[in-house]
Amino acid sequence: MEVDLIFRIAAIGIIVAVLDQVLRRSGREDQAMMTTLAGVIVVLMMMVNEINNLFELVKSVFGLY
Amino acid sequence: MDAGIFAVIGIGVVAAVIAAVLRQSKPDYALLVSFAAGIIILYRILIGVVPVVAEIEAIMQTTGINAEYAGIMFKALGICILTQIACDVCKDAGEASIATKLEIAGRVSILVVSLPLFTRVLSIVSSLMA
Repeated sequence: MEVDLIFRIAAIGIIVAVLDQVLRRSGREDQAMMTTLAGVIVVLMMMVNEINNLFELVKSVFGLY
Repeated sequence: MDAGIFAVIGIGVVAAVIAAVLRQSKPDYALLVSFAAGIIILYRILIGVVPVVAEIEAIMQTTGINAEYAGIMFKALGICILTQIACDVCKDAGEASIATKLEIAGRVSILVVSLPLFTRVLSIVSSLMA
């Protein structure tokens, strides 16, 4: 559970924002949307593991089974 | 948690600044950053809570109170925490109605968990009245 996760999400967000602007200026609206969608999916895949870790910890600490 | 509080404060402030920066260009990433920060902060809090829970259970053992009651209490607390996380994420995403439904789900599951205690209290009351 490192703080790197926040910085990685922020970096992906900035990169996707730049790519979105570039693709939008060159008239490729659909590819810009695909890039945004792919970025969101990548971030969600990164976060799913952490969410699973948190839920397992809550279950083990508070005896939820 | 002596040095942990500074780490948690740092994580929260940094994540808030990053979310504010991202909000004008990509609002959905601001939501994801705040969600990730919440998960990390909560994970750190819960790691600090582990010895506290063990201590409370030991106290319950020494006072002779049934350990099942403490287990039900901690189960309700865990359900509260998980439901609150999900509710906050939904509210941040602007879906207040889903958040309300999640709160109802949490309340119902807490009721289901604590129902054995209710029946026990009722049986005690009825035995006192008899």
